[in-house]
Amino acid sequence: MPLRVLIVDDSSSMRAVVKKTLAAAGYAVKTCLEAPDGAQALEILRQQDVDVVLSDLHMPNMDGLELLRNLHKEGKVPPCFILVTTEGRKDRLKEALGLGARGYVSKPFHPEGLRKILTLLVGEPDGDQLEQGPEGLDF
Amino acid sequence: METSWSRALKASISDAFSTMYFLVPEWDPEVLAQAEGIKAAGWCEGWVEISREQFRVSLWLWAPPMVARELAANLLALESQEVDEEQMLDAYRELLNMIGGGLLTNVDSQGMWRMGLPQARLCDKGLLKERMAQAKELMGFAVDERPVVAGLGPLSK
Repeated sequence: MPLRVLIVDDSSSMRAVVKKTLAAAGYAVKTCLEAPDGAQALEILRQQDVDVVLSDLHMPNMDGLELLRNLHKEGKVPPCFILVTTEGRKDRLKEALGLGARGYVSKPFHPEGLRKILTLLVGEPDGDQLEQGPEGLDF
Repeated sequence: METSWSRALKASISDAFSTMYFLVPEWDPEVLAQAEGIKAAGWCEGWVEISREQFRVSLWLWAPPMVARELAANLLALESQEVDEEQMLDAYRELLNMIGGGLLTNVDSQGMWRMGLPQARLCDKGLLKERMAQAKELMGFAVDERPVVAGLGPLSK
């Protein structure tokens, strides 16, 4: 089933890279929305559902952790929220995972790293989606 | 004397450049002497502040226009001539973000330091050595025989 995806990153280059990586991995994408910060992502997620969010943590206006706190409070954390981040602080990553993020990919990343976590959480690109992915995936 | 920060910075630069920008920076101390006489116009200057309580460290990166353009082109899978200035600066800021994040992962196991948002601009005049004077600790790299300079600002308040 084609995915509805939201990519959140203040770098337009990184949004483009993540989008290309999704396509290169073979995922069919029905809708690919983009937001440059957590505030805009929150507005989007209040109005529509998506299957996958790929979000940076370190952003202006509202960072990824604040976005997750808001979504958690509103009961709107999407089923597959993956962090794509340079953040190395365990306390922040742990809080994000506790708020509903399903895993994270550290930047810089190889495309294979992103494909691997998507396969685990969303299923193979042919649409064979997992009913339940592993919680708090951390590699 | 090489500090733990400069060792970590070298490793982080190498990782960020090679993993997502497909260029290999080779540490080369002679680059610093060569860079001193170079005119800064057109060079890309990026920096990000890292802080902990009253302490401030600035991480700097200078690259010539061809390298900055190639970095963006490689990241975005474009030809160099297709890259516009905004894409180049955005890719450069993201490179600083990755380098700074990698640096902190290596030196800050306690999570005491905070990184700001990276900035980047094109230099318009003067000599590169005047820009480099903003950093206390400098290191030079050769990227396909082209100079790239990184620096760290004051390591104390």
